Amino acid sequence: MKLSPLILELINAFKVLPGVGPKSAQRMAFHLLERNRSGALQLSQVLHNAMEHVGHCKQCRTFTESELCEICAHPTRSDAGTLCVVESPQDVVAIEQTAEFKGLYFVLMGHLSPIDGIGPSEIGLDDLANMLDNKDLTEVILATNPTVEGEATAHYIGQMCSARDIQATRLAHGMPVGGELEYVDGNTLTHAFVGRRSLS
Amino acid sequence: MVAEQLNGFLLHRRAYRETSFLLNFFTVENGKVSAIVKGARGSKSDKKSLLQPFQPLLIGVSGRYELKNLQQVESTGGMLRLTGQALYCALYLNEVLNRVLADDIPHPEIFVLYQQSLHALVVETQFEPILRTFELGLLDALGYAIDLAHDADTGETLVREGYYRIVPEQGCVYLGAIRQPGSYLGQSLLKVASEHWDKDSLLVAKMITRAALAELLGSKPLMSRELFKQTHFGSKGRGH
Repeated sequence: MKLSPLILELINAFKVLPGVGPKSAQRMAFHLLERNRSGALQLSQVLHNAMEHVGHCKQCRTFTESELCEICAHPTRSDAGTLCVVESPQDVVAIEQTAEFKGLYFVLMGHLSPIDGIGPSEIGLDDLANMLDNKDLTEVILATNPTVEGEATAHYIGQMCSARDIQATRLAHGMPVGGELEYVDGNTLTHAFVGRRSLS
Repeated sequence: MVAEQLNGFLLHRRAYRETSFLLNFFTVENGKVSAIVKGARGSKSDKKSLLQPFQPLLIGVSGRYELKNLQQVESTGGMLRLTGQALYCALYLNEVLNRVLADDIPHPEIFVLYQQSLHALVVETQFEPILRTFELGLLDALGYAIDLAHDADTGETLVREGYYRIVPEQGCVYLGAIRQPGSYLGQSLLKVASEHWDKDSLLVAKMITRAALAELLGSKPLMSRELFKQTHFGSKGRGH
């Protein structure tokens, strides 16, 4: 059966979603047409709105439709004097869920990776330098991923902090909670050994 | 299909589709090898921790085409503990190799040089001599060596007090006894040729290798160099 141009266009449009190929796209298109037109209309409006209005927070670079995101605009969070540097907005969500951290964030939207052509200016380190200069910070927590690129990024920002006499700390690497030592990979185990702590 | 066993290091990995990585390895046996690994980005896979640069690996790849499938990966030694400036230098080595090497052409001599340079970066505190030795060795192995000890026209040893210009594909051309822009002193060139490193020879070597590598790398600049420009953050920048 030959599909009408509009349906074909809809199927093709669904293929922009991650992990969606032609078959899944077709299934989605027909599902919405057959069973959930009101939901689909709402989706189209929300999608349009979000794509039009969501930008980056002026201070921490995370996604938001306001000028400042909720965390940056919060009346007390900047009083803590701590800043947590993460690679992506998802990392902010993960850390927020722990309810452990009460300071501000800075979202790099990536990491230093010279081989991919990503240098200091591509991950907004100029904005970060401004923030380090203008906010009254006592500690910067470097929560970049435990990869080689994440380490390089952390070291680079660490140097920016030491040039301004701000303490920089790095998240510990170690054993997963509830895991078994036998099944932990060698590199993680090495880090856990190097970063061991005395009891008490 | 029987997987081919190769020893080497990961040069670069990047995310591909939902759970896969595209990988570039530098191996003893086959030079640069490109491979794909599926399902490695999930939370259950322990390949993520092995598939990192500067970790000696034994990899099993299969496939007839340029892009291989990574079947298995094992560690053959501890990950090299590189931090700070040494890590930037090592990332620079990876970027250069990833750019200048072609797939599936063995370069065992460059591999040895790379391995030695990485080990030197772990233990030494002066990084520039390591980088310069690596660059000169790389140019040599790729067939772009410049004879820095002999006059290109006469074939005789350079005059220590004379000034020379480096002409691509020829070598050192004698200019005279008076300094001119873009010229190098014979004495400095001789020091570079014998890898006798001091402040002067390191600077000369840097300019020479940078110009020679620029021809191989094309117009896209090397991003690793940006990492060394930290002078504007107030810390001591180490040019390279």
